[in-house]
Amino acid sequence: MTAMIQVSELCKKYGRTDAVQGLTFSVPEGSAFALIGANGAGKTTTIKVLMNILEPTSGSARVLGVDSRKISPRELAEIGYVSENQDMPERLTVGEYLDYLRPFYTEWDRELERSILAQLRLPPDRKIGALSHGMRLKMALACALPFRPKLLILDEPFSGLDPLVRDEFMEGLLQQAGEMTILISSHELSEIDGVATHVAFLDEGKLLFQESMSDLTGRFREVHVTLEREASANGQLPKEWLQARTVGNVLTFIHTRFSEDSLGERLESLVGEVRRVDAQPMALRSIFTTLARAARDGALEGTRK
Amino acid sequence: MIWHIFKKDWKLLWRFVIAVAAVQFASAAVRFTLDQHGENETLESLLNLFIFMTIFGAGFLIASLIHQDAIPGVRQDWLVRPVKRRDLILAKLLFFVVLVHGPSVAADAVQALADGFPLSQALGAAIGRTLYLMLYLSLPMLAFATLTQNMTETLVGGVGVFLGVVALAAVFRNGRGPTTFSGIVWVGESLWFALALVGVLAVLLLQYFRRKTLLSRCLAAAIGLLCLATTSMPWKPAFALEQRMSPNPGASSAIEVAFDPRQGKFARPSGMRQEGRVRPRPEDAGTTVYLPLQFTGLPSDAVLRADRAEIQLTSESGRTMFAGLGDDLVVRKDGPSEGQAPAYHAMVIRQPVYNRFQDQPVRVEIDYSFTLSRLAAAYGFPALDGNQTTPDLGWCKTEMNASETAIILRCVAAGRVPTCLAGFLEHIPSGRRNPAQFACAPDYAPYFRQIVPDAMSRGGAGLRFRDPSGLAKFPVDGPQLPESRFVIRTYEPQDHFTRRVVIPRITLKDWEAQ
Repeated sequence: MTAMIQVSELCKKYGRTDAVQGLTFSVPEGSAFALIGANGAGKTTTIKVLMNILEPTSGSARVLGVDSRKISPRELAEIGYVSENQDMPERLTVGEYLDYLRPFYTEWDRELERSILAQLRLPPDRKIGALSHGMRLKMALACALPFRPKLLILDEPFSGLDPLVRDEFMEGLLQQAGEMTILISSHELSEIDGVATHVAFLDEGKLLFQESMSDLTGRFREVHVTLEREASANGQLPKEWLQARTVGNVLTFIHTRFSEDSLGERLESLVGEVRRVDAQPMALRSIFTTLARAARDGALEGTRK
Repeated sequence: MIWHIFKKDWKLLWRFVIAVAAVQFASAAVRFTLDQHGENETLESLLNLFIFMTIFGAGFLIASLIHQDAIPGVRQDWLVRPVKRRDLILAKLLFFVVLVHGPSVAADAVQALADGFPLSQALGAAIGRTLYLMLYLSLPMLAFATLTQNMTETLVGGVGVFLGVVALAAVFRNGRGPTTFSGIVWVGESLWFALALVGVLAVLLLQYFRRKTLLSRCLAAAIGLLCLATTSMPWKPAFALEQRMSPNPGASSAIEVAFDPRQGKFARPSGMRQEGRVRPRPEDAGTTVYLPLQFTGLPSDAVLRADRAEIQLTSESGRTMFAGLGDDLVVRKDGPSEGQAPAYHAMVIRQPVYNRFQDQPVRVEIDYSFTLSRLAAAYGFPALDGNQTTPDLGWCKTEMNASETAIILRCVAAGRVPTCLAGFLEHIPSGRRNPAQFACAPDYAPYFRQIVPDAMSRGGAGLRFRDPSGLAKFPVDGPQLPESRFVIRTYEPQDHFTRRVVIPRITLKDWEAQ
C-alpha cells in the first residue's frame, strides 16, 4: 500500500526543547490514521512540519511523495487541513471566505460545498469572527472538503466541541471521506474510536508505537484465569502480561499478544492447573491507559507486536 | 490570483483605505486654502494634525495589509492553502502602490492642478514625492510589517526600532556627517536608499518565499545599521560623484583662487551683517580670522559657492595645529564680468589654539569644494499685489508686510524649485535698485526631496525698503513702490570642482578683522 505520509527520524526543537524526537511512521493510502498523545506530546508540531508550516530540525517527512519542505501549491490543492487553532479572516463572512478560497482549487465542487454548508448548518452571512469555537471548526471543515482532498489532516478537531457539534462534525466528515486518507490528531481516545483504522501513540515527542487498529484491538485482552489452587503472581510471568495480580485463586492480567490457541498451554506451564480462562476484548481507552502505564514503567518493550 | 487576493484585501480594508485617503484629500484641501488665502493658525494646526494622521494612518494601513496574510506564525489559514507566494507578494505590492500611495498621488496632483499647474507638472511632482516617500518610509515599513505577526508586535517592534535608531544616531554623530546640511547630502541619501531597497527586497523575498523570520530580522537590523552609517559618508567620495554629475563640466576650468594680502585686513561694515555669515557653533567659539582671497576667471552672472573648505594650519615645525572647516563663502558676479572678484574667507580658530599660535608663523592649506552656478532666469513682479506664475518658481504673490517695512514674495511650485536666488527691489522709471539679497540653500539632488506636507515647494523672501529706526536709507522706498518691481534671479549649478590654496607663511594675528 502506498504511503501518503512517510515520516523518517523526524526531530523538531524549539530552542533547547525537543518537541519531536526521531519520529518514524507512515500513513497508508486510504487509511484513517490517528495520532494520539497527551497535550504537549508533539502531535501538532508533527502536523505543522507535515504542512511545511514548521521546518524540521532534522529528519524528513514526505507528504504525497514530496518532501514537506518543498510542498507547493500543487500539493496543498490536494490537502485539506482543519485545526483547532486556525486563524481565518475574521471580518469576512463564511460565504465571502468560501468565495475567496474557491478559485485556488481547480477541483472545487460547488454542489458539495452547498451540501456541506447545509449539513453543518453554517450561516453563510455570518462573519467568521462572530462564529463560536465549534462553528469555526465546522467552518474549517467546510473549507477543507469541497475540493475532495486526497489527504485530510485534522489537528485536534474535536477540542472543546460539545457532543452534538462533534457528532455533526463527524457526520459531515464521514459522509465525504470516501477514498480520502485522513490523519487525525487527538488526545481524546473516544473521538477516534470507530473512525481510525491505524493509530500511533506519541509521548513527550517520541513515538511509542504505530499499528493498525484491528491488530491493536485484536492482540489486547483482559484475561481472568481461575486456578485450581491459590496462586501468587511471581516474577516469572512473561513481559507481555501486564498488570498481573491475584486474588485468591484468580489471576488477572492484560495480555498484549493475545492468541487463543496458545494461551491455555502457556498458562498451565507458568501458573499450574487452570480451571477456567476468560479473555475479554478491551476498550481502546483501556488499551491506551495500559500502554501509557507501561511506557511510564519502562515495560513497553514487552507489549510490542 | 493577484487580482483575486487584491480584491480580498480591499474587501477587508476598504474602510481603512478610504479613511486614509480622506485625510490626504482633506490635508490637500487645507494646503490649497492656505496657499490661496495665506497664513491661518487654525488651518495650520489642522494641517499638522492631518500630516500626523496621514503618516500614522498609512503606516497602520501598510501593516494591516501585510497582516491579513501574516508571515510569522503557525496558525494562519493561508499557509495551508494553495496560494502562490509570488501572487501573494505581488498582490500586496499592487495594493501598496495603488491604494496606499495612489490616493496620495491623486491628492497631490489635484492640489497642484487646482493651484493652476499643468497636468504633467502636477503629476510629475506628485509621483516624485511619492517615490521619495516610498524609499524613505513606506517600503521599509512594508518590509518591517512582514517581520511581525500582528499590530501589537509591529507597535512594540516599531518603538524598539525607534529607540535603537535614536541611540545609534547618537553614535553616528547625531546623524550629522560631513555631507549633512550640504547640497550633496543626497549622495549619502541615495546610498541609503539603495541599501534600503536591497534590504527591503531581500526581506520580502526571504519572508514570502522562505518564511525565514529570524534571518530576515537579523538582515533588516544589519541593513539598518549600514543605512545609518551612510549619514557619516566622507566628503571627498561624495563630492567626487557630484563632480562627475556636473551639468556643465569644465565650466569652471578658468577659475582660480589665490591668497591676496594686498587687499589688507577685513573691515567689518558698521551696522551690517556680513552676507552669508553664519553664527558659529558653540564648540567652534574662538577668534575669527579673515583670509583675503582673489578669484579670477569668474564668468558673468555667476555665483561661486564653497560647499566645503577644509582648513589645516601647520606650525613651522610641521606640526598640525588646527584642522577644521571654514565658514560659508559665496562670491557673486552680477552682470558682465572681467573675471576677478576679491573675497574674504572667515575661519574660526578655537580660542586655546589661537591664543597659543596667534603670533607664530603658520602654513595654511585650504581644500575647497566649489559649485559654480550661473544665472538661469530673472523675473520681475509688481512690488505691490503682484500675482503671476513663472516656469521654475511657480505661482508667486507679492505683498507688503504688516509693519510696512518690507515687500514679501511668496511662491508655490509643483515639484522642485531653484535653491539659489538673488532678489532686489527696482524702481522701474529711474532704474534705481535696493541692495540685492542673496540666499542659497543648495540641493544638488537629481530628484525631488520632500516627504511632507505635499508635492509643492513653497518659498518666500522679504526685501526691506524702510528702516523703522531711520538709520538706513533705501534707494527704492515707500512712495516708489507702486512703480517698482520685485526682481528675482535664479541660479542653477553648472559645475562642481575643487581648488587648493596654500599660504606658505602667515601670522594669524595679522588677519583678524579691523
